[in-house]
Amino acid sequence: MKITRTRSRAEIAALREAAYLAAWPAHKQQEALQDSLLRNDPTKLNRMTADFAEIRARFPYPEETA
Amino acid sequence: MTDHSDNPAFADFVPPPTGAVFTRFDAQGRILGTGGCALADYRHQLQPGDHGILPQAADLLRDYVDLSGEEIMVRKRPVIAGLDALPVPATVTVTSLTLGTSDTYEVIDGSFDYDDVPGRYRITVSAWPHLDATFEVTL
Repeated sequence: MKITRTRSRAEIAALREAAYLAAWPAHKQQEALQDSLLRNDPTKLNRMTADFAEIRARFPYPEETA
Repeated sequence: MTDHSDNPAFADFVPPPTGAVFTRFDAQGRILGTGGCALADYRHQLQPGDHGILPQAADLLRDYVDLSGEEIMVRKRPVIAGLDALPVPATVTVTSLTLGTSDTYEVIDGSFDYDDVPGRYRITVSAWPHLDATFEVTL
């Protein structure tokens, strides 16, 4: 028996949120933003943005896969 | 008291049993209770709602009473080896460990293949009289 489960938009949003926070906890996100804004060092912010893009690609919304 | 252990006439002597063990079970062979009692009280151990009673010991969780053959007997509950060798029918419950949501499926073809968004999932299989099995998969 083969089951392919499709997730709702709300479930995907919850999965994305959990993945964002697992990869970049709130204090790490704050650090990346502060480095970029106050020290003009966007290294961490760029890495965080790339990680978030990868997470969005891993958990696409239902309308994006249709 | 006289010691007869050296007397060959008593070598094969087995005293008559004065006690009995018992296992109570329902119509599906699920064990409802086990215990021991005086031999004279054995027939009084059957409770209302029981399907029957056996003069055998059993493990409440790991054994069942096989009612399928001519001789009713206590057997070990079989183990489910994997998701590609399920008993028929089987009830499969998939829980997303991230979301906490669960879905239940009735599987009648002996195998279960699951696809979902990436994440960790707990798959629980129950199929009486087999022991419940739990598998964790990462997709």
